[in-house]
Amino acid sequence: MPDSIELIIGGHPMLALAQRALFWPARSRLILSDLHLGKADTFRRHGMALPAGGTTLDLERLSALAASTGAREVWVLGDFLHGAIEPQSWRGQWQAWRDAHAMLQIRVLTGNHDAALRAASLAVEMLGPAVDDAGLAFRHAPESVASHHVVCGHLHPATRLPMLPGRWPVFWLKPQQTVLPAFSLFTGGMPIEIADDEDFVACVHTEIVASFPRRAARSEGFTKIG
Amino acid sequence: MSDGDLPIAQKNHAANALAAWFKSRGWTPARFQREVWRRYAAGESGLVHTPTGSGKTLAAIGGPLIEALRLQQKTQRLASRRSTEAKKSTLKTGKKPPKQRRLTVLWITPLRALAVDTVRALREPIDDLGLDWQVALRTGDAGARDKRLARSGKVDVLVTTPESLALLLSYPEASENFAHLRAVIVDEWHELVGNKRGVLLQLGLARLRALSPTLRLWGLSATLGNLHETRDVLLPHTPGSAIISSPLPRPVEVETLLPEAGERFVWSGHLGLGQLAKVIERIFAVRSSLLFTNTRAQAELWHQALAAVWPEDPATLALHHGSLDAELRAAAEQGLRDGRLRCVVATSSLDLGVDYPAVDQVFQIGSPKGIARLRQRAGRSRHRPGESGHVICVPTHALELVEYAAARIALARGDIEPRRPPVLCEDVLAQHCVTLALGGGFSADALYAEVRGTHAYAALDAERWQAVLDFIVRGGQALTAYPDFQRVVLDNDGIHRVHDRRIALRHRLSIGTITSDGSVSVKLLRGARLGSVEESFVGRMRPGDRFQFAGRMLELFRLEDMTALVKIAKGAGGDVPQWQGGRMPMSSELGHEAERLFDAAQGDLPRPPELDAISRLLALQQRLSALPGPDRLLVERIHARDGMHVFVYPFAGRTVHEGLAALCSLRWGKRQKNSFRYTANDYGFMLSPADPMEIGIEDLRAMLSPEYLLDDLREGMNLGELSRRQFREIARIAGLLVPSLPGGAPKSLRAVQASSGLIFDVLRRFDPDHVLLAQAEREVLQAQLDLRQIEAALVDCARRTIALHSPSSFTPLSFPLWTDGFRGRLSTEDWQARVRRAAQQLEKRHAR
Repeated sequence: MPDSIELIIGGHPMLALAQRALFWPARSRLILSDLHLGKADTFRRHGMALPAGGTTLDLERLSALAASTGAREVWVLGDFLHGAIEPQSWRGQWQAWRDAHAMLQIRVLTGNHDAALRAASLAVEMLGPAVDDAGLAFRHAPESVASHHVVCGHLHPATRLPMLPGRWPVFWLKPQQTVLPAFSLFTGGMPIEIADDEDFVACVHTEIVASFPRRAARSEGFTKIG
Repeated sequence: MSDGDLPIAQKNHAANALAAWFKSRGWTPARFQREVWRRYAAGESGLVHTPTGSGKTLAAIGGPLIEALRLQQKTQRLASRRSTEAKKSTLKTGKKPPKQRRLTVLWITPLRALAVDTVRALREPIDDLGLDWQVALRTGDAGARDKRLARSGKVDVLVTTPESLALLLSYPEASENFAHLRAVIVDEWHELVGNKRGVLLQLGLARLRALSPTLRLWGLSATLGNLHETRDVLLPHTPGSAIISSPLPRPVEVETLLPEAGERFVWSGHLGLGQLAKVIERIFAVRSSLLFTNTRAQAELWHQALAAVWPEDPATLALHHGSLDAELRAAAEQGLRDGRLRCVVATSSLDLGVDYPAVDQVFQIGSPKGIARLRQRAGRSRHRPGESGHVICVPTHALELVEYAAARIALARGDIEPRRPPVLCEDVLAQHCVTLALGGGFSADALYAEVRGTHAYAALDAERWQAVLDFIVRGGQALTAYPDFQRVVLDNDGIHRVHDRRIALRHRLSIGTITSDGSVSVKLLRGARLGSVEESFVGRMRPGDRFQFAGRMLELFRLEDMTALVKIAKGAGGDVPQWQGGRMPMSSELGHEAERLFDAAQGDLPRPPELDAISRLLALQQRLSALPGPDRLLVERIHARDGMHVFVYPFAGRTVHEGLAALCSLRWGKRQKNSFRYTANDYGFMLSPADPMEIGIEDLRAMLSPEYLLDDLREGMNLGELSRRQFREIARIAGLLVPSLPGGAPKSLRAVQASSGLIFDVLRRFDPDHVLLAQAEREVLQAQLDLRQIEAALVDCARRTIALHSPSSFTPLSFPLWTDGFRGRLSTEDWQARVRRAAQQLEKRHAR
């Protein structure tokens, strides 16, 4: 099974990656959502004993994606942080990661978890709550934007798959909207119902399982979405 | 009582007062009651073994009553002497100082429904005997005044539940309030001994014994297969304590509503509403009835069905189950007491010993599930000492008739299932430790000794104890993995305490959520709270969708903050919520009794009327395949349109069958990589390979071999996935989850909400040796899969001859399994192969 699949989103060829991100080759842009940096730190501060390690792992995955796609920039569609900005162990990890990827542009849409982000000086560029680019409307949460195809996150969509236990994060492909899976491994999924005119691309470990036949995708070059 | 008639033996005087009270009611104290009183007076603890409705409440409270009467007489004499002296020395009757009340008797009951009734039952003799005792209630349902009284300790008798006791222990006042306890009575101990609530109570009792070393502890228990063990779990500190039995177990009559001759009768199903007319007829033949179902959903549906044809005032029909709001439940209970209600449809929420002398008869809808359970339910009717219990069984499908007959035979023989006490539950211990850290703090060494004094933790080694301490103090054992963690703090004086108020709040909210699952409060748009349903049910619904709940048809208006706002809907149609954990497995004792009956059905011996009623069905089973029996293991291999299925019938109960199904899939798949789906019910299990495979007697023998059981289970039984599910309860008890409360978690806790599955994954990845992960796996093997019982079932299967049949169509035994839908799935392929299979399946599904 492949670790990525080609899609056409709002007329633009893109790659959906099993590592829960979208790659837009024409812009050399890696697009992901819901990074939730420092989530376990917030839990520990509330007396809920979750071990550290998740943030490091997520950043390592991001490094690997940046390397394998050769992306020049990374867009995070909101929920960059999980909790408060106070000194927490994730912060050092982020700085180290940022230093190691100094050439990479990091651009962040503000999400509901990002209240403290602006003041945090994390060497990221703030994009505000909405960006429209070439017929695509980038948002944190789903909304409808006239004559645009919306690309967003926030929902953490997930679905069950035949023969496999549990729920798996998906790219939720709707006619006017593409909802990205949450990038962080330490996020839960929201079960979704796939309507007749919708499709999904599920991320199973390091592989892709799509709701539409691979054969068709290959023969047509790209699967038409939206 | 005048002050003049003094001495005599004070003791006899008090005992005589109680005896006189009995006489005033037209009763005489039974021999077992007097024995309990005598032993209590002698300072002993013990277990009273008695069926419900035989005067156990008075047996237990009699000792403390006599003791209190003696004390009261003594102080009255002293007081009167003083006051006569005072009078002699002239004037002033100074204002009597208010009595300094101290908590003397603690009464612990497993159910809130029982608590109200117990308070009433205790107040009667207390008031009649002129004892200046105040009785208060402290349960989740208690009012603000009672809660305050309980916390202040200024009552004489407190009626509470294990969880509310834990909550009281979380306040620093606890050590002072419980220091004067003389008696602790644990009611319906058999309901607690086999589960984690009982473990929590064991820890609470150990604490109470430490606070008041002279207290006497008495348990009340119905019959269990392991009564001595049951006593030892309650009274580990006084080995060999007395077990006092009331003389005769009440005989129980099991009657079955038989289908009419020739009546079409379903092979599988879950409602039994075909019997509605007959049930109505029986209900209206007497004054009042209790109608028990096995699940809350079934209760809702039966209530709805009865209401639709109810020939009199609808107010005489009520519903009672654990998800209903306290007020609604209390109204139904009160109605039963007053005799206002003709019928209450109930689940196990009314199983226990509430005294409803007004109830004339009891119905059991569907499978009795267990011998002890049917007996308990039968005992709800004509609840007076010496009277016979009577239950009318209403089958929901044909094969249940065999179960009723089997239960009757087992009851007559006096058989009863055991309940095994769980041990070494680190989650409960962690919760208890945090509770004590809140309630004034603890020293590790002293507490270690204290918890080792319980049955559950007698074998707790120093290493595991340290692991639990590390979990609550540092987050875990891995030193570097938990920076900035704070929950319990080891202070410089060597005492563990909680300082953070947020943590205190969250912990108190978590206490007592052992049994409840993620729940959404159901509230009328304008008006009362109706109760709660599971999140997963409401989560699927959209505004405008209808569902049946609390005996009404409701329409979802809006879902906000874990509250479902609803309106009363008109007309019919709509879903009924299914609550998890509603499916109780049948006991293997009852299963094997049923199996013997199937076998006996072949002979010409006289047989119970239930078997006659389904003789045609049995004949069909025999013609298509064969009947099960104690010496043979029936296996059916059926090719159906949806593929090949193999059915195996060990009659060991659903839980065991689920384990066996998984084990057999694994072993079968070892010969040829394959994916299997399986399902299980109380009679047997079904395996369905994705690619058809042949199977012979030898294959079956190999699959069902008792050898290498543990290795095989560990190796292939997706233990990870099972542990992940089991972890939910553990995480909740140990405080890794935000408590899910009806009405939603407080806003401050939203940022730390995560599913137990996610937390499990994080722990597995970053702290794989975590003590709670080990517990989850152990519980899967011991409690969920019930390793011991699986092993027993395999040994039992090995003893039997295998009767392998290939019927041309589904049989009466296989059909219910086939219609049941798949519950589990196991693959011996690597996950890449499974992903491929998933993709193929999707492709097939979406090929247009």
